[in-house]
Amino acid sequence: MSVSATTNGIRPGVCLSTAKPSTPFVGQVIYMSDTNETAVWQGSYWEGLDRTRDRNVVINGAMQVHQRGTSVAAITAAYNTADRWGMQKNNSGTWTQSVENDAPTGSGLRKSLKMLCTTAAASPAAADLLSIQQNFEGQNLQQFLKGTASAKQFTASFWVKSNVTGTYIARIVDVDNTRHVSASYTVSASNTWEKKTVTFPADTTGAFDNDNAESLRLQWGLVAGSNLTSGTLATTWATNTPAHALVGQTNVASAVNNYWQITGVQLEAGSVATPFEFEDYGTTLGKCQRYYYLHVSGNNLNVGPAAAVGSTEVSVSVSFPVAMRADPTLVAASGGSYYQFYRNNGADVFNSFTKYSVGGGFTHASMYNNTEISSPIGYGGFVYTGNASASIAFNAEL
Amino acid sequence: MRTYYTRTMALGTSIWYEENGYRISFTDKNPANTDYQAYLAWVAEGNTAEEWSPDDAS
Repeated sequence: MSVSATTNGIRPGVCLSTAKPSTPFVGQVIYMSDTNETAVWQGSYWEGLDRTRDRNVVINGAMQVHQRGTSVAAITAAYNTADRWGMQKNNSGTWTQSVENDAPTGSGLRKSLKMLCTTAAASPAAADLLSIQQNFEGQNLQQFLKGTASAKQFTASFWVKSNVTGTYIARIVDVDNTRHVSASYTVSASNTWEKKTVTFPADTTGAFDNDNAESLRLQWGLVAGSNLTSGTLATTWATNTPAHALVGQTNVASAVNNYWQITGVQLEAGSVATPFEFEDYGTTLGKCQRYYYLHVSGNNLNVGPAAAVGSTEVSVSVSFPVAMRADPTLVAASGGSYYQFYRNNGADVFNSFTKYSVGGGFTHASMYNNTEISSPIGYGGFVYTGNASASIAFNAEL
Repeated sequence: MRTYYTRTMALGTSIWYEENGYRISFTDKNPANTDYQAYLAWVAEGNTAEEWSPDDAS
């Protein structure tokens, strides 16, 4: 069957080199030869056709998943609330991180990650740093073609809100090849959600490793001392030099109650910022559980089937809902009688677990307590939590 | 300063430390585990973990 463009209203595409048409029509397809991208005009935005789904390499960009909790005061750990969202902090005052039910009206987003300053650092010391970041496995980044002649740009889009207007810095770091590039964006209006798009240049130098280790870091500055601001902002790819990383960064720690909030984060290949790619909660949760899995948290919860493998030792095997990125670390809350081993003719209470082995493919692991049990060897049963503060999690974060 | 403990068993070595009411434990089986990487860096600085023994059982 032949199709007539004239009779069926099909209009030809346009090949462009560096510019998009100023008055495109819905359905118009363009090929941008300079970036090797194809896109279609959807009425209000250009949608990349090279990848119509799974464009966003950011996990939990809508901040919907928060297995670790919703608020942590005086944060020091790398990961605190929203899954996959890490932090780097050196001095820079004191901060509370929370997941808020606050997002741009009409965006479809409902939650955001908030950093609230509770002790100011009005004059940051040279080594001060506070940043929010997400780290990526190299095997999830190969579509950027980094390190090849066909390398693609990195386009980050996000909603941001802060009471502190001014210049902010976002940057990406190639961990495999020790390279980085930065870009500035402006918070123009205080206490107002603003959509920002930052396109980082393509890099024909240094390919990402195709493995499960960290290859890329997407980072937003909040506080930066002179060690990170004394040079010239690295707006082209270069060897990672701290002095060029966050030049011009506004100090969000200048006063107590200053805050910075972010949501709707997307990072995709090419120069086009497509609309935020929503996904169902279960899909996002599964992606997050590759890096962190909260097995139990609270009282009277079944940890799993158990057996007394020694006169003072109980062992429990735990299956993970998804294969984890790597052999995970067991993070087990410890305290008096936090756990109970129910078996024939009685129960043993004990305080903590230690990780032992992991299954092939990182799909399950075993853990034990070998000091606080007094069960006959070979008895089977179940372990339950015995305290509201008991929790068991597995961590394979980057 | 953090103190690491180890227990060598048939399938490998458990390594752990206590922090803020949590026992953080991992094994020596996978170099991609960032806690194991930190432990190896700690050992490279000249530190030695305490080997658990049955006498430690309460």
